[in-house]
Amino acid sequence: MFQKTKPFRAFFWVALVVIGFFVFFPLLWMINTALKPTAETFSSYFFTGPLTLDNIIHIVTDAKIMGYLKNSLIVSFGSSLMATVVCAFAGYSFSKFRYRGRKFVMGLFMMSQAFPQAILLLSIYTLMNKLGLLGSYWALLISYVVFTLPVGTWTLKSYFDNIPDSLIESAKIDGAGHWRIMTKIVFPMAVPGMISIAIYGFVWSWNDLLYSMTLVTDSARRTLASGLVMTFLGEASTNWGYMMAASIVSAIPVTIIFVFLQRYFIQGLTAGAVKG
Amino acid sequence: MNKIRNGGKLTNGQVGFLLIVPGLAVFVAIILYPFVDAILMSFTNRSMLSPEYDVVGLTNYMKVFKDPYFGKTLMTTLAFVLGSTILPFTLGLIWAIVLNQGFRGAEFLRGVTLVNWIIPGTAIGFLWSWIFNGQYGILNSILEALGILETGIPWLGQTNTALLCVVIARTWQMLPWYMAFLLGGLQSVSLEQVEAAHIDGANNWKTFWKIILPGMKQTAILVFILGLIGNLQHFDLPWTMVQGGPARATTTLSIEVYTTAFKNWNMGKAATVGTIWAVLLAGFSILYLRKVNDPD
Amino acid sequence: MKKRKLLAAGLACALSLSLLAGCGDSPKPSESPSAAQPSASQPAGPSASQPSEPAADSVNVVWAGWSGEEEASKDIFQRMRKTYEDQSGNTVTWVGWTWADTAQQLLIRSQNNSEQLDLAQADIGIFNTVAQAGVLADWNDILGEDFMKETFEQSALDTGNVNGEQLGLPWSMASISMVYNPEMLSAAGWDAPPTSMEDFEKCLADLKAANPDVIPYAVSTKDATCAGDFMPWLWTFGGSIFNEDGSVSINSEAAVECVKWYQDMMSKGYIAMDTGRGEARQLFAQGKVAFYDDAVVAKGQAVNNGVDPDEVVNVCSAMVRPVLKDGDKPQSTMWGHMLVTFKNSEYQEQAAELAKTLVSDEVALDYFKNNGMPPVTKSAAELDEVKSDAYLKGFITSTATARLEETARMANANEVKSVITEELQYALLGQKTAEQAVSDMAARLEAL
Repeated sequence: MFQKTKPFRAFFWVALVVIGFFVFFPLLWMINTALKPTAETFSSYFFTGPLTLDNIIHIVTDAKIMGYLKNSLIVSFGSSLMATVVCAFAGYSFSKFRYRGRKFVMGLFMMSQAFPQAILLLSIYTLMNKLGLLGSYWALLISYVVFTLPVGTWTLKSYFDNIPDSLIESAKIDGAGHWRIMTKIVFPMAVPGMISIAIYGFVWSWNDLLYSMTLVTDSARRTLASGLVMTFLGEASTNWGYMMAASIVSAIPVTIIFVFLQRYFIQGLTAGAVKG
Repeated sequence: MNKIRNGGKLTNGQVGFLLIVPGLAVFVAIILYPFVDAILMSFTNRSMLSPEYDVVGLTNYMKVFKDPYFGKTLMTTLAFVLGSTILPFTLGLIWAIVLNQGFRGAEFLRGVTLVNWIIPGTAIGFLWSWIFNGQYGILNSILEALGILETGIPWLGQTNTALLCVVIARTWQMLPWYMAFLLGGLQSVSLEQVEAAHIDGANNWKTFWKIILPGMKQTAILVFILGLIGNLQHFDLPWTMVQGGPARATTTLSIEVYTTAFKNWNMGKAATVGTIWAVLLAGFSILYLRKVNDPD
Repeated sequence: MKKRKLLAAGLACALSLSLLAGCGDSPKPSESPSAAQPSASQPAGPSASQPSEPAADSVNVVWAGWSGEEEASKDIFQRMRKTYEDQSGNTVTWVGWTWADTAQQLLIRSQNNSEQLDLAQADIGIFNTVAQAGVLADWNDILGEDFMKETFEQSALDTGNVNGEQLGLPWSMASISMVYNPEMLSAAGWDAPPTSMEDFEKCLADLKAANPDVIPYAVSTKDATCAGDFMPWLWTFGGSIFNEDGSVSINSEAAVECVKWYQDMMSKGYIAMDTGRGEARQLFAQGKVAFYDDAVVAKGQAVNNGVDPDEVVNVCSAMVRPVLKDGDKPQSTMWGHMLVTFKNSEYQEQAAELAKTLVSDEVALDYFKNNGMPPVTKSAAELDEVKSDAYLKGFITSTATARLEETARMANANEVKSVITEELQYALLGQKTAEQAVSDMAARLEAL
C-alpha cells in the first residue's frame, strides 16, 4: 500500500516505537503492579524489585471473583448473540424491504445512544421491576442489546446491500420462502460481519458498569465490572494490587479470543461497508 | 416465525416490518419509554428523596440557563468530546497503518492492542490517575529522571492540564477500537488504485490523501461520529480520575447529569440537563443520519 | 467456502471457551463445589447463606450495605451473619454495593418497594440521605425507648435522631480527627503535636524544611472529602456555612481568613492539589505526609498500605485540632456508622434482633479487634480491651466536642459541599481571590 521509501521507514519506526510505548507501557505497568507485594505497591520500580504471584493467586482462588467472571461471560455472550440476531434481522429488513416508516425507524435506532444513560436508568429500573426481571440476567441482556443496535444494524445493512437482489429473486422463483432465503442465502454471506458485531456487542456488555450495578442486586449474578469495583474500591481504601491483578486475570480469556479472532473482527467490521 | 415461513401471504413490506419488531421492541423498552419519561420529568421537581412531586413548568430550565457555570460545562464537554475523538482517531489510524505492514508479529500486536479496550474503566481510571499523580506518579519520575522537569507537576491538580490528562487516558482506552475499524477500512481500499497512483508517480503522502483516505471515507466518518457520541456519554474516566474537578475543569454534561441525579438527588434538574443535551445532539444526529441513510 | 468454515470454527471455539469458563455453574446461588476454593477460609458467600430448605417458621432477613463487600471486612461480616443465624434460626441475605453507591441504591430500592430490604448499614451522610426520603422506621417504636436509653449514650443517640425520631441505631461512633506521624514530627524537632494554629504553622514549616519532598499536611483538596475537611477549619476561624435559622452565613471575615490561610499553606507547599483521602492515606503510610484528617480507621489504613502492624503506633497517632487562641474549643466532625430499618420492611422485628446481635459486646469486640471499629454501647465501651486502647483514646477525646457537619441534616448536602469544594479549588488554584471565592460560595448557596 505504501512505498517503502526512507521517509516512510522513518515514519514507520517512529510510530511503532512511540505509539507502541503509549499503548503497552501502561499495560506493563499494570502487570508490574499486580506482581508487586502489597508493601511495595507504590514503589516505582519496573519489574526490577521483588515480585510475587500472591495477588494473582488470591484472585484466581477467590470463588466470588471467578463467579463474577463467569457471570460476565454469560451475560456478554448472551447479549452479543441476541444483539447479533436482532441487528441481522433489522439490517436485512432495512436493506432489502421497502415499507412506510423504514427510514424513520432507522433514524431512531441510530439515535439510541443520544440520551444520557444515567437518566434512562431509573425508568429502566422501574420497568424491569414491573416486568419482574429485576436481578435476573434478562434485565442486563435486554438492556445491552441496545448498545450494539446502531453499529450492528448499520454494518450488517451494508453487508446485505452488497448481496444482489437478483440472487434473492431467483431463490424466490425456485420457491424458497422468506425464512429460508434469509437463513440459507442472506445470512451466511454476512457471517464475517456478524462475528464482528458479536465481538463488538460482547465488549460493550463486558465494559458496562452503570446498568449492572443497578439492575443486578444478587451478588451471585453480578458481573465483573461492578463486582471488581465493589470488592476493591472500599469506603476506606482501594486495594490496587488486587484490582490490577483482577483486571489482568479477567482480561485473559477475552484476550485469547481477540488474538484468534481479531482478523475476522477487523475484516468483518467494514468489509461490507466500504464497497456498498 | 411460521408466518414468515409461509411467506407469499405476507407482503414484502409486512415481512420487512416483522423483522424489525425485535429491535423495535428493545428500543421502545430501553430507550424510547425512558426517554419520554425523562422529558416529562424535566418539567417536575421530582427528587430521589421523595416519591411525590409537582409539575413546575420551566423552572428547571430557567435554573439551568441561569447557572453561571452551564456555559463552561458545555465548553468543557465540547473540548473533551472533540479531543478524545480526534486524538485516538489520529493515533488509531497511524497505528492501523503500522500494523497493516504485515511484519512478523503484527497480527499478535493487533490482538494484544485490543486488550486496553476490555480492561474495566474504573481500573483504567486508577491506573492513569496514578501515572499522572503529582507526588508519586510515574510520569513525573520519568520526566525528572530525563532531566526535563525539576519538580513534579500535579497534572490532575491544575485546571489547564486535568482535562488533557483525562483525554489521554480516554485515548489509551479507545485507541484499539479506532484501530480495529480503521484497519478494516484500510484493508478494503482497492490496491489496484493505489498501485496505479504509485505508477503515475504519486508519492506516499499524495497517495494517502488522494486515494487511501477517500477509499475509506465511509468507515472513517462512521467511526468518527460513533466516537463523538460515545465520548458525549462517557463518564467513567473523568469521574474516577478527578470527579469533574479541579474547579469544574473536567465537568462534562455527562458528569453534570450523573451528579445532579445521583449525588444531589435532583431528578427533575438532571432530566432537564439531559433534555437540553438531547436537543443539542439533534444537530449532531442530523449530520450522522445524512451520512448513514443511503441515497435510495 | 473454506474460509467460511474457518470462521465458523473460530466462532465455535470462542463459544466453547466461554462454556468452559462457565462450565458446571448454574446461575442459581448454590455454589458448586468445583468452583469453590478448597481452603477452609472459603467464605460461605452471601448466596450460600440461603439454605436450600429453610425451616418452616424461619424467615430470611435482607441486610444491605457496603462493608460486607469489601476485602478488609467481608470475613467479619460473614461471622456476624453466622452468629445471628445460629442464634435465631433465621437466615440473612447480604446485599452490597460500594460505599459511594449505597445511598443511591438504598433510595432506589426503598422507594420502588421492589426488593426486600430489612436492615441497612449507613454512615452519617448516607443516613441523612435515606432519612430525608422518609423511608426509615423509628427504632424507639421497635426496640423501645428504654432499651435505647439504657444501651447507648445520649450523644450517640442524638446522631441518629432526626426531628425526634430515632431513625438510626448507633453502631460505631467516633470523630474525624487529625492524625499525625510522631516519628516525622520528632525528626523535625517536635516531640508533641502542636496545639495552637501558630505552632501548627511553625511545625509545618519545620517539616517542609526537614524534607522538601513531603507534603506536611495532606488536607483534602478534591472530591467529597474536601468540604468535609474545610468545615472544622472554618469553625476554628469562627466562621460557619449557615446560621441557626438556615440562612447562608459563609460570606464572612472568618471564611475569607480561612480560605486565605489555605492559600498561604498552598503557596508554601504545606498542602497540595489533587489530594483526596485515598492519596493522603497512601502517602501517610509511606512517610511522605505528616498530618491529615481521618476517622478511626486511619491505623488500619496505614497497615493496609504497607506499614508493619507492630510499628504502626509509632507512625500513626491521633491529636486534637489546633486552635486559634488558647481556650478555644478544638473542632472536629462526627463520624460513624448506624443501622437503619425500613418502614415497609416485613421483618422489622427480625431486623431488630439482628441489629441487637451486631451491637452485642461479643460481636462489637470482634469488630473492634479486627477492623478497629469503635463500639458504641455503654457496656462495650467499658470493656478493658476498648478502654486500654491508647490509639482509640485520641479519637474518643475529640469525639466529646465533635459536631455534625453543617450539612448533615440537609437534603442537598452534596450540592452544598460541591459548591464549597469548587470555589475553594478556584481560590487554591489562584483563579479567584479568597474574597471572590467566598462571596461566590455565598451567592451560589443562596441560589440553591
